[in-house]
Amino acid sequence: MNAASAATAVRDLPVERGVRARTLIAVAWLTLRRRMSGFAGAVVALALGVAFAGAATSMLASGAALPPHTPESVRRAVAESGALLVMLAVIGAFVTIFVVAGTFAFIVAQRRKELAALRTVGATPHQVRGMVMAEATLAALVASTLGVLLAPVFMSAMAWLLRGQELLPEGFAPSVSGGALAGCFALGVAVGLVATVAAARRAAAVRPVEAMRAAALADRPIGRGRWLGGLAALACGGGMLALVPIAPPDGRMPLTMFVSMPLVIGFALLSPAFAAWAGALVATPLARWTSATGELARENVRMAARRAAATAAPVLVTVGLAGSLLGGTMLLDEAMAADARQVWRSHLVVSGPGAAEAAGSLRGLPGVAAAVTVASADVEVFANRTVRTVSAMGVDPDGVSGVMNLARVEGDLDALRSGAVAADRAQAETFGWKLGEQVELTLPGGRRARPLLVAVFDGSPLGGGVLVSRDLLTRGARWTAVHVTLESGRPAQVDAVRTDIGERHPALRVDGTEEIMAVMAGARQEGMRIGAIALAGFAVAYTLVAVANTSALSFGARRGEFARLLFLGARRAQVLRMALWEALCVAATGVLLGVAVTGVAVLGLRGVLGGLGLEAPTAFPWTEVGMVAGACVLVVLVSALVPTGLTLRRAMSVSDSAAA
Amino acid sequence: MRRTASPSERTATSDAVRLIGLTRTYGAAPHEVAALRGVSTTFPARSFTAIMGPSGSGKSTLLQCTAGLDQPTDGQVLIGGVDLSALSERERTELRRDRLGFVFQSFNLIASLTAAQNVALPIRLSGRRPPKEWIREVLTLVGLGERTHHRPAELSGGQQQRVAIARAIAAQPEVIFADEPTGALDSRSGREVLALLRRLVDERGDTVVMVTHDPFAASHADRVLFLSDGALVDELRSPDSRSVAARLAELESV
Repeated sequence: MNAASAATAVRDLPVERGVRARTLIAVAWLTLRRRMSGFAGAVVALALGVAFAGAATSMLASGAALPPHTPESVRRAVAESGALLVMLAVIGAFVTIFVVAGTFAFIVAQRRKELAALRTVGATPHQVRGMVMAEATLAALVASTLGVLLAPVFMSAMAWLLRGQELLPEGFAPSVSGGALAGCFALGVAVGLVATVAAARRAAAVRPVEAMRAAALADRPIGRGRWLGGLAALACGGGMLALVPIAPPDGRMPLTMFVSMPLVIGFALLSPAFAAWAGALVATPLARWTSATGELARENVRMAARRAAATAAPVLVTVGLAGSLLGGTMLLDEAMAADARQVWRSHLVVSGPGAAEAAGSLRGLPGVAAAVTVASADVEVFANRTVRTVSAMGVDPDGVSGVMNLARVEGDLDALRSGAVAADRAQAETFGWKLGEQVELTLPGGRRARPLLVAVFDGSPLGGGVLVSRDLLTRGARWTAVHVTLESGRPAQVDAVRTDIGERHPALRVDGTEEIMAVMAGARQEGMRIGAIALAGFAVAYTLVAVANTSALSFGARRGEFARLLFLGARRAQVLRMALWEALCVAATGVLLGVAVTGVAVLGLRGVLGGLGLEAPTAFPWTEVGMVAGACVLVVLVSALVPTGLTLRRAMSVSDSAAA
Repeated sequence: MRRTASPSERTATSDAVRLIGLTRTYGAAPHEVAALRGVSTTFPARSFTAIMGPSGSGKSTLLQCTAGLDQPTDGQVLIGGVDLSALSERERTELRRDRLGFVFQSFNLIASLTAAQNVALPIRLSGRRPPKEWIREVLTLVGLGERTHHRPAELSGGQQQRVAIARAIAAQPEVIFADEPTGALDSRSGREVLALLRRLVDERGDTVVMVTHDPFAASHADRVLFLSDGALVDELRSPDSRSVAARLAELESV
């Protein structure tokens, strides 16, 4: 027979280079096209990430390339938004890896049988791994291309938003940077590949025997690697919290902002271990109130802990990140306000043109104990191989300890007359400054100076600023005001002196120190709040994609099971109810674990701040975090019920036609 | 690349597969469960053998060990004279790809590939490029010459199983292993598939080893081996449905 003789010669065909690789890529591409709905979550998440990163880096590049005549205030605003954008990019990369890894793990788990068949007909583990990696590469290429196309739109939207919040000046118009987009494209592909490594390894470990029978996927418990990874991530989060008190003061805040990430990873990795009992906890009352559907849902969650955990994990990430970011920011706001209150002893602040010249006459007023001119500016300190911007206060030594809380002074504050600095003890240590030695500063306007460190003291817990002699800040001070301390802080006396100053110096403005600190803290808090909402909002929008994707995938894939229930006499409404309870259990599991992450992060931060000597703050953004959790639950329910409903309709029509 | 049997060598080798004292146990000492207890037999080239037995008799384990999908605890499997236990996982994979064919109960075609692509896949995975007309000829042989560009979802169960058979024979394997190939098919499609397997043996000189629980399917074979409790207990030559069913009923009642 002709066919037989032709096929006999198969082994005599030459082995050609590249055929294997091309075959794997072709199979991967066809799989990708056919299973687009499964890959959609990963592609959307990655495209959003690349678009966002492209927009952000383009803005940063535009900021770095500002024309030379740009005013200082515009430069500063652009630089500050840049810092926010960098944080967003870090969170974006983290969430992207998480979402893409989750989606690919899911796709591999659903295709075990097909992968086993591939292994049986002769694909080596290496080839199976290569195929999954090829799928990821193609998906990442598609996503990165979409992202690059979206980036200009994102950038315009971002610039518009930042201008609307007055974080950017009207005049700043960013332009798309080709280099930035190319970099983000490459980064997107790299992130996609990194996120798939674990799934590909799992795919390569599928044994060919699994193709032989229609064996149900046994829900394997958490593997040893996963336990180790989860515990290591939790330990890392705990370690970061423990590091906060001994970290340099200006490193404490970023550290606390990022504590939640390893915690989220840890909880997500260990979630299959918690999912069963967390789900059962939620489902037990349901099982009591409903006839059969609640109990079915509970058993489904309990028996398929891993599937439940896969859907609960993105909810956990969303709630955990939003809760710890927003909660942490709110705590830090309070802490910084308390910190500012602890810096000053003065009762009144006199500002306006000519305030500095009036300081001498203020000192002579009845009831005034001390009046010191304070010029504020930012200076740059070069320490530990990085340049840090530190706020500096130019003061005269006379009476300075009357207006500020300076405890345990060592050295000589009186020497703070020319070419000298004084600093908080912990801060000086961080900078590597030694008492009596010269230190390096860059003053406003780029001038360099080498003043002498004449004194150290215990300042405020969060570090505060450095004190410098006034001659260093004769030019470039942001704001100059006179701090006035009265002999007694009784309101009557404060009011009397306030009126007295107002009469003598009608051009000057007089405020209570607490009021003005509150206003300044408020402005800073507003900035931080906007930043945190941007961070959390971004993470939430992002993870909701993942929530919808995994939930829709896992419910859509259970057509056979739902059809069996119908066959056994369940009504459609009952199956839908079961899916509803199950989705509720899964969502609640995610929320519970997310709240646990938030609790550990926020309570840990609170303890740390308390340990630093600040009044322990108690505020928590219940409304915002509640809304985020609610949105997650809603998305899980909708994305569970819609595919279930569609599946049921299809199953019904199939059984109808079979009966006909 | 190892040169494998050419057609003339194939006819010269009388035994495609030889099993010597095949034993497979699961679990550790006190709770040890034996799935196979020293099975020895041969599957001659150009023969069609059915393996039957009650549930739990070890027929699936026998197929898996013989096909190199599972490792026997003791004993040897020789395929075309090659001892499987001497091979690494990678070598076993390549042996499956180049010298064995598989037909499953649930077809196990790759959903995203067309019939022709599915058939060509094992050959391409070995780094060779089969000419299009070869693939078409193989599909014509199983009666699907007009359906080369259809995907599995566009084919009936019987047609999918015939694509799977085309995939199994495309590389001219020394043995084709079939695991309940008619289990998921209606009786007409099942008969077509069985007739096709019979034709492969008669007309092309292929060797088929099939696990089944269906006496009618087994009646297409030259020989039926009966397994019970992990051991070979009987053998029927030129079987018919009735005698197979009677023997199976006897075994199940024990």
